[in-house]
Amino acid sequence: MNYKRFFAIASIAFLGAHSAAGEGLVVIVHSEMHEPLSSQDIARIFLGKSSQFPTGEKVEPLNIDPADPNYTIFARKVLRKSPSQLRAYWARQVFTGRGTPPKSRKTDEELLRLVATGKQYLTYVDAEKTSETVRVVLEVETEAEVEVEEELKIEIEVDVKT
Amino acid sequence: MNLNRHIGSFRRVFAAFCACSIFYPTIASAELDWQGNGFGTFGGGVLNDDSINTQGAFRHNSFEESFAFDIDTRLGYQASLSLNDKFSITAQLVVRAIDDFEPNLEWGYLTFHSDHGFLVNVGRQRRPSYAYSDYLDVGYAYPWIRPPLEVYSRDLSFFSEVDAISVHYQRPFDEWTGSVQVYYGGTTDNAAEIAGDRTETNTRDDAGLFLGLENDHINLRLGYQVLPNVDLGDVEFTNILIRFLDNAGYSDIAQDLVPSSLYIEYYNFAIGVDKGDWLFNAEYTQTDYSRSLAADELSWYAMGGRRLGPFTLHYTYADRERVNNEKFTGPIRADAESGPGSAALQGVAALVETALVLSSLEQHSHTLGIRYDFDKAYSLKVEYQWVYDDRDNLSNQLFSFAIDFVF
Repeated sequence: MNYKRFFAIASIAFLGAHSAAGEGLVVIVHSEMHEPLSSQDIARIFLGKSSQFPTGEKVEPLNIDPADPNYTIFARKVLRKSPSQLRAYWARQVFTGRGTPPKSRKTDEELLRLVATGKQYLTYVDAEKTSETVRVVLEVETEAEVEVEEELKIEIEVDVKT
Repeated sequence: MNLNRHIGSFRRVFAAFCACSIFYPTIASAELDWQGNGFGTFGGGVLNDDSINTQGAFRHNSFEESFAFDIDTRLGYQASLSLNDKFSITAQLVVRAIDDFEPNLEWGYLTFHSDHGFLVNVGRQRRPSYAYSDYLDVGYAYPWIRPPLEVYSRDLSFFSEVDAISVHYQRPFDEWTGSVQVYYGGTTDNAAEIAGDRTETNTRDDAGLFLGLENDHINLRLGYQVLPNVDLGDVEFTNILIRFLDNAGYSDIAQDLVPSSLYIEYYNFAIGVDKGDWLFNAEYTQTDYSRSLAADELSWYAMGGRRLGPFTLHYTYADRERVNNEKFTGPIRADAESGPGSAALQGVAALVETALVLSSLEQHSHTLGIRYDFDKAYSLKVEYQWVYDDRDNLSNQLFSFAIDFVF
């Protein structure tokens, strides 16, 4: 049946985005920033709802390039939005003049370098790439296997119905 | 109002400034930080039968019995220039197929960003009247091809943009973020078509207050707007009616009909729930006209949707009605039925009844749609809509599709 194949292809395309995920990612700040940051604080900052750390200092969040799988994992796990929900969210914010998305960098190395140079930066990198020059404020399990299962479940559900 | 005049000329000056920035990006980026974002829609639609637009007294939409691509197709670009840490200028240009792609500088405003969650905008802006009003042109940002026309129709042109000063404040507490937005301003010489007459509308001392509360999944909104001095310009039909009423001895009613002093209030409540797998959106709006033939209007819609991978399936029910101002018919009708000189009044009563019937409306619609998100920033939408004109007993179906994108 055409629908089955179509859905299978759509689901596989989705799986492709997750299959290259690493062991986990960590949200990091400059090593001298000692204040705690909750997942909620981080989400608020990355969604432009707050331009300051909870302590009141200015914060500049940075994303990895949207093509990197960590971007999607961070969006789902910490921001609790799917990539399309996030795009619609930023389209709304940008075109109503309420804010712009955080800037991004192409590699984890660039992000690590930047964080070490300034206390305002907040970003996330692969857990295994972290070093003593930065401080980890949140650990995010990638659970890549669980993500894959979710996509397959959708495919199976649809097959059964058709 | 002095403020409006100053805002008007300010708008022209910095519109020119922005145009220069757009055409000379190398100069702009060397000294200042600018950012550009665009959006667009390519879409078409067709009615199975246009009687709902041609036979009834009310034109529901601009679609016809042959496929039309110019109603929804549009392209927009927004450029934002950061002057320094605190100030930026934003301008948005939109070209619409329906206007033969004539560029229209929709917005142009200066923004002051404070460190404490405040944002002040001065200049031409979209009135944030309803939930989707301020990003109505960005199809990509919402599930439908167009938000329900029962609430979002553009039949009142003085309504969309305003030259104003607006303040936006947001504050997080726990998992919620609360926001307040207020604005004060007006519009000048907005071309409009009312009762078949081309006219120029003006408003002044417009004000609005909007409250929002949102968390990860839920979005609540409450809005109030008052346009206390709406000048509809010269509307021939109303002038004739006023003369008739004056001659028949109803000068006090005639006084209220003068089109240069409408007082309009808008109320709005909206709720949005997005749980990833499923979503729900509903909105209720009420428009009260205090001194006018125009009837008070109530409209609302409720939408439920389900996400399956990149697909979103949704169903919407929408309803709209205009309730006549009884104070116009009441005394005239009573006198025409039984008072002295009632025969002469029959004519006046009939004219008033006609005017009131023309300004009344009752309709509802059902819409079924699918949105498919493909590629990084594109979506394809297909919708089928059943529209019912309950006053004139007409119905028809509208099929439309659209491709929305952002860049």
